[in-house]
Amino acid sequence: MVTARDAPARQGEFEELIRDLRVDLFRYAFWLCRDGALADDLVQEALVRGWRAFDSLKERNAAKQWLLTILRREHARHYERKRLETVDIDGLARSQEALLARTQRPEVEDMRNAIFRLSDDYREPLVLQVLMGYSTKEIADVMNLTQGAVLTRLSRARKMLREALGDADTRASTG
Amino acid sequence: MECLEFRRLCGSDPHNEDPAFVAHAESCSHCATFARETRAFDTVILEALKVEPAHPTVMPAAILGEEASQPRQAFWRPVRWLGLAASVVLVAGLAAGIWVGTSSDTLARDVVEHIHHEPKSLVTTDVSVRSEDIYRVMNRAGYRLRDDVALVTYTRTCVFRGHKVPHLVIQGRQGPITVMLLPEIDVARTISVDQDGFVGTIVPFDEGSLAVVGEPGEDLDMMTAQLVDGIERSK
Repeated sequence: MVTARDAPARQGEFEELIRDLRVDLFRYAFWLCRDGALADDLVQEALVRGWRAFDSLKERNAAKQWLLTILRREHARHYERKRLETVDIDGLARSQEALLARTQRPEVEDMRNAIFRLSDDYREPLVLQVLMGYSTKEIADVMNLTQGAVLTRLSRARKMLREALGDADTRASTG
Repeated sequence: MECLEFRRLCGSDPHNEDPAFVAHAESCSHCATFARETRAFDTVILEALKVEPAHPTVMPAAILGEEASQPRQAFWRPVRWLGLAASVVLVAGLAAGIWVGTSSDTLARDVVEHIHHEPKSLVTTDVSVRSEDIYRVMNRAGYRLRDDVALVTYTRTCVFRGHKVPHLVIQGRQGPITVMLLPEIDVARTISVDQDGFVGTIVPFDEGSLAVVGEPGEDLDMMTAQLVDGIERSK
């Protein structure tokens, strides 16, 4: 049982643990749900749940994967409640314009928009690999897929992005 | 390894360290160029993925409960206005990061402190947030806000004293007005807020309370009345 005397040390440990993870958690949440406000909510919820279950985290260096799993579960819970069946990609893109456009470089902005338009099946493994540094085995564990399926999705994701950016270059040169 | 297989693997993981993959890149200049271009492409992907949060990411103290960040001896300081049994419960509650009781002075102070933690909420603007965001934040607390009550320019679920509460900003004549719905923090009477240039009130609302804080000179009584009338339990 945690006593009041243990509480400050435990809180300090949790605070230190999440200090470096907070921004990456937001980024992962954002690319999962493509909604800045919802991503903020999901991160807060994941941190609250993580704090409550902190004693169950045995390996402190597994904290990132642990919090990501909590966040991912929270995201799934959110969509179960909403029971979304279709997603208006253009509607989402318009509402997130400000967040997506915060860059000085047009090629990065184009890439952001292209990633935004990828479906969940291709976007999530790409985010886990490139942003979070996960191996294909770790991605397979998170997404409950075979490694082969992960490899295929990653390859197709990059191919779709190249095609989308090829279209963007064409529009830019003829517009 | 053949070139086709190399390029397929490279497309899945351009930083592949498999010895056969590395050996092929060293022996085939076309595939080596393909790998370099794919890694450069990934550099742009990585930069694109690094979006920045619009709001400051919530600080741990706000999650753990404001009191959790106080020095350890504060947990043991007697709270004279509570009975001994309630003090024991309060201390146990603090260990869990949840407020059980509240002092009216500290509630007003804590509301203003919370506003200070979210400076980006205090923007004078005529751009409203999305209605689905307002719905989600309010619904999470079990409430809804009628559409015609006010122009809402900021909305977020915040952790305040260990509780998740709706935090809205509406636009008044003098500037932004902070509205915090505190369903699990009840107050026995209306509390005045007058701190750091902010003025307002915290009123009993339903089974909890409602904080409405703005700039001096704002008709906050009228705004509070509109909000009390315009916030209802969601079905």
